[in-house]
Amino acid sequence: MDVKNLIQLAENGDVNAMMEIAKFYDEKSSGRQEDKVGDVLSEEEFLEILLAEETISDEETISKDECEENKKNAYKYYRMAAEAGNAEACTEVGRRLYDGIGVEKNEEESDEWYKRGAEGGDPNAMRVIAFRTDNAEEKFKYFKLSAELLKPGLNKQDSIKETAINYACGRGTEKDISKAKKWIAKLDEDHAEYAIIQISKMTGEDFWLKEIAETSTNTMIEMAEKFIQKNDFVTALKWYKKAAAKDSVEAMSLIGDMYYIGEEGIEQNYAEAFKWYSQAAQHDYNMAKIKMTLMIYRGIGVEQDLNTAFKNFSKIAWTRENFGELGAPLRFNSVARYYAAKMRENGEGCTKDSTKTVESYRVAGGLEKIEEYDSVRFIPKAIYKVADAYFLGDGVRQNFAKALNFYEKTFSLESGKTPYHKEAVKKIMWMYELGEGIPQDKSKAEEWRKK
Amino acid sequence: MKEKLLKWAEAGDGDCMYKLAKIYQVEENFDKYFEWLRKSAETKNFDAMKEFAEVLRNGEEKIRDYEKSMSLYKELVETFRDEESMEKIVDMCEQGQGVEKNDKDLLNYILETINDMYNDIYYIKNINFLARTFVFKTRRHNECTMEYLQAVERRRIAARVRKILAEN
Repeated sequence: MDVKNLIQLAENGDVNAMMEIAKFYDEKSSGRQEDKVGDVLSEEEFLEILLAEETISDEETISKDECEENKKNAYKYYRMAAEAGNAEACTEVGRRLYDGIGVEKNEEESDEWYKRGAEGGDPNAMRVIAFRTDNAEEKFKYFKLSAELLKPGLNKQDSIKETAINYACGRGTEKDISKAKKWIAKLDEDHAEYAIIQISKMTGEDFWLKEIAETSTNTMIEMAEKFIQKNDFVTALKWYKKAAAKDSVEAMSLIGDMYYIGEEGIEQNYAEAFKWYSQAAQHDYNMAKIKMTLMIYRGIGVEQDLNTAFKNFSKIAWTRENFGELGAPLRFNSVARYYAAKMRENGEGCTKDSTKTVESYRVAGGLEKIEEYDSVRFIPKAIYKVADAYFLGDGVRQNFAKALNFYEKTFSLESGKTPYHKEAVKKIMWMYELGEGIPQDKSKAEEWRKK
Repeated sequence: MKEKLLKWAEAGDGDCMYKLAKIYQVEENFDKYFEWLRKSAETKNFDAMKEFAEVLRNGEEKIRDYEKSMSLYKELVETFRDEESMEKIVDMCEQGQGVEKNDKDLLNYILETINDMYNDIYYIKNINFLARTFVFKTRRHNECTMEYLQAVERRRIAARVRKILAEN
C-alpha cells in the first residue's frame, strides 16, 4: 500500500493506518548510524573525518530539515491515533512531548498522555509512570503490571527487578521475602545479581549477599567494599583476589590500586601494582591500560619508555569504548587523549609538531565531537592549551577572537581552586586592558579583574 | 615568536613570561631563564611557580633556597590543591629541607588537606560520580577520569604521610 492511500485512510479515521503512517515517518526521521565497538582509528583517519564533515555541512543541514519535517509528521499521526484511543499511540505522544521530538517540550502534558496510555493497557507507559511517580503504591502497582505484560527484553527485566526490590524492602506493599525471591528467580543472571546487591544495600540485611557470594564476582567486590568501609584493607584484598581469580578485571585493577597506594596493612609495591594492572589490561580493560601506561610514562615500578607510552595512549585515545547495552553512548577516553596530546606537545616518544598538538588538545578538551553520538567530557586544561595556541598563533593561524572564546570556556568550566581557571581570567582581563587583538575595553577589564 | 612573547611579557602577562623563560632555557641562557621564571612565579602563574620551586630546590648551589621553595609549594597546595606539590612537601619534610626533619605540623596539614577532598575510589554506592558507570553484561566500571587518577594519587600520598608519622 502506498503512502498516499494510507494518508487518505488515516484522514478518514482509520486508527491502524494512522499508526502505520506515523511509524513510516518515524523511521525516515532517524538518521542514526550503527556505532562500531572496538574500532581503532588512526590519527590521520580521524583528521580525515573531521575535514570531510566541514565540506559536506551544507547537504547535512538540508537533510536535517527533512528529518525535522518527518518527526513533525510522525507526531501528528501518533496524536491522531492517540486521540482516537490507541494506547500505544498515547505512549508515543507522551514520549515525544517529554523529549520534544517533532513538537514543543511539555512535561505536564506528557504525563497526562502516559497516564492515558497506562489506563489503556500499554505496559511501556506503565513502566514510565512507575519511574516518575512519587506515590509508592502507584509505583509498585505499575511496576508489577508492566513486569507481567511487557515483552521479554531489558525493559521487562528492569520492571521485574524493581518489583522484586519493592517486595524485599516493603515499599508500596507488604514486605514479603519469599515473593521477592520468586520474582528474582525470573531475572537473568546479571539483573538478579544487581537486584540482590541493591536490596542488600537498601535493607542492610546480610543474608542476601551470602547466597550468591561464592559465585558472583560483583558480589565479591561488594563484600570487599564492606570491609573497606571498616578500614580493613587486608580482608578486602582477599575478596578482591577471589574475584580476580574468576577473571574480574575490575578487581584486578583495584588490587593494583591497593598496592600502588599502599593502603593500611598492605606494603606498597609498585612492581606488584604494575603486574596487576597489566593483567587487567590484557583483558582489554581501558581503566587499567591507562594506569599501566602512566606508570610506563613516569617510570614508576618499571623502566621509563616514552615510545611505548605514546603508542599506548594514542591507541587507547582512538579506540571506541563500550559503555554497555543500556543506551549509554560510545566514547573515546579523554584522559588518554589528554596524555597523548601532552606527549606530542613535549615531543616525548614522537616528533614535535605544533599543528598536531593543537588538534589533539582540541579533541582531548572535548571541543570536537568525533561522531554525532560521541558524548563529550570537557578537560579544561586542554581547552586552555587550545586558547593559548590561538593567542600565540602556534600551530594555527593567530586568532584573538577565538582565543578569547576558549579562554572564556576554560573559565566557565573550572572552579576557583583549579590552576587554569585563574590563568584564563588573567589572560582575558589583560587582553581587554591592552586591546590586544580585540577592541580595548577598560570597563570589561575591570569586570574580569573582580572575578 | 620570541619577540611577540617579549612584548607581552614586558607588558606584564605572567603566562608569556613563563613561555619566554622556557625559550631562554632551550637557548641555554640561564640567567634570563631564571629571571623570567622568577617574575612569572611572582604573578602566581601555576606552571612557573611549580618550576621555580623545583629550580630553587634542585638547582645549582648559588641559587638554592629551600625556604623559598617550600613556601611556594605550600602556596600551590593552599590555592590549587596540587597533588605533585603535596608530594614534594612530603619529600622535603623527609629530607629536612627548609623545614625541620619530619615536621609533624606540616605533615598533618597535608593529611588534613587531603582528607578534606573526595577520595573514595573503591565504593560504588549506587553511583559513584567520581569515576564509574555501572554496566550490565560487561561487568566493568569503565571510565577512567582525571579526577579518579588524582584521587588515587592523593590516597597514595596520604598513606605515605601516615607511615612517616607512625614511624616517628
